[in-house]
Amino acid sequence: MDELTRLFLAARDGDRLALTAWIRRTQAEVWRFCAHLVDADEADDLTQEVYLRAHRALPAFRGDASARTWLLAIARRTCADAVRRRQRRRRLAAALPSARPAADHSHTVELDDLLDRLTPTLRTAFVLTQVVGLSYAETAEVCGCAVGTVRSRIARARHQLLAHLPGRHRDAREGHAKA
Amino acid sequence: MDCPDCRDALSARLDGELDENEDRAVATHLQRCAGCAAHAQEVADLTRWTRLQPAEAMPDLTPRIVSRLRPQPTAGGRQGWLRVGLAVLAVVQVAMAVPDLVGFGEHAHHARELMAWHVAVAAGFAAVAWRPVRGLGLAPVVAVAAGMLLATAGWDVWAGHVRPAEEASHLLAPVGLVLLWQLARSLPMSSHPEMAG
Repeated sequence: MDELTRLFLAARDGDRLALTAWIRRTQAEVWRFCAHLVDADEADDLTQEVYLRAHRALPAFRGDASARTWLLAIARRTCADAVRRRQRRRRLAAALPSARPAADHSHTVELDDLLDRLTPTLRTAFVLTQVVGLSYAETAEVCGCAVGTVRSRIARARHQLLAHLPGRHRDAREGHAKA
Repeated sequence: MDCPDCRDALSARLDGELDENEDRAVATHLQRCAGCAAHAQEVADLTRWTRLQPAEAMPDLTPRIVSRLRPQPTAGGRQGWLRVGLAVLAVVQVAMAVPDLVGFGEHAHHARELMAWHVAVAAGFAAVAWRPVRGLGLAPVVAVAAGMLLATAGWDVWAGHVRPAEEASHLLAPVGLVLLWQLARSLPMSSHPEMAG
């Protein structure tokens, strides 16, 4: 049994020190997931909310999933509400006359602007595999869907991202050629 | 393999999620299809770029998170059963003590005193069953009483002063002591005064 699982099970059985250590070791992954799925500014609060829910659900953990996918599934559900709120806000802002201009698609575009183009479902699968580094099987556990579904979602996500920014990658390839 | 399938497979291949057969089919298709070959390059560049994003600096949220988590009792399961066990034990002990408490005869006085102790120990167990954290303060008293009861009963049986059956009730106290010990172990450490804060 690896150290992280040992800490997790001890935390489940009431060991406060183990709980603290487990939080410290897993928070980076949860934070990164929340930052890319929702927003870096909201990530601190979201991470805290995730662990609050996890702590409440901890005694009922039966070991039918890995601790890692269990925690990320909680994070996914926590972020889903935040994503819906942001979408509502954005629809409202876009409806107003003084809407902001469309995002700049030059070299300075960052990953989050890119991910913003994806629907929450595709973004979740994409972030879990590309940013957090889960396998398709683990991602399927977190999302509660089939592995094949995960695979097609990621393929669609990549397709959409490329469709939005073909210029960037032409430049990237030219950059490689020059280098 | 047609182009849509190929593009789907290319995506999976970048994540190392393609089996051998599909991998071969993709390689074959790429040799014949310039469109998909170009797409393969684009998707590979995109993937490399998304994965090479610098790791963001994140604050250590642990103190803030932990301070918001209320200390919780452990999974109801084990702790619940231990408490029920102690409560039942307490009731049985008192029930067994009653006859001697109200008995008559030359040894009745001593029997009454002894049974008073049994009832006291039973009360200790009941207190812990009711409020585990607070009740544990009684543990030293209960432990000594239970230990003494067992020791003296054991001695009397061994020395032939009494028959084992008569001393059976004394076994309840040590059993209760074991339950008490298990319950103490199962309590969250945050309940301990030194660990608070």
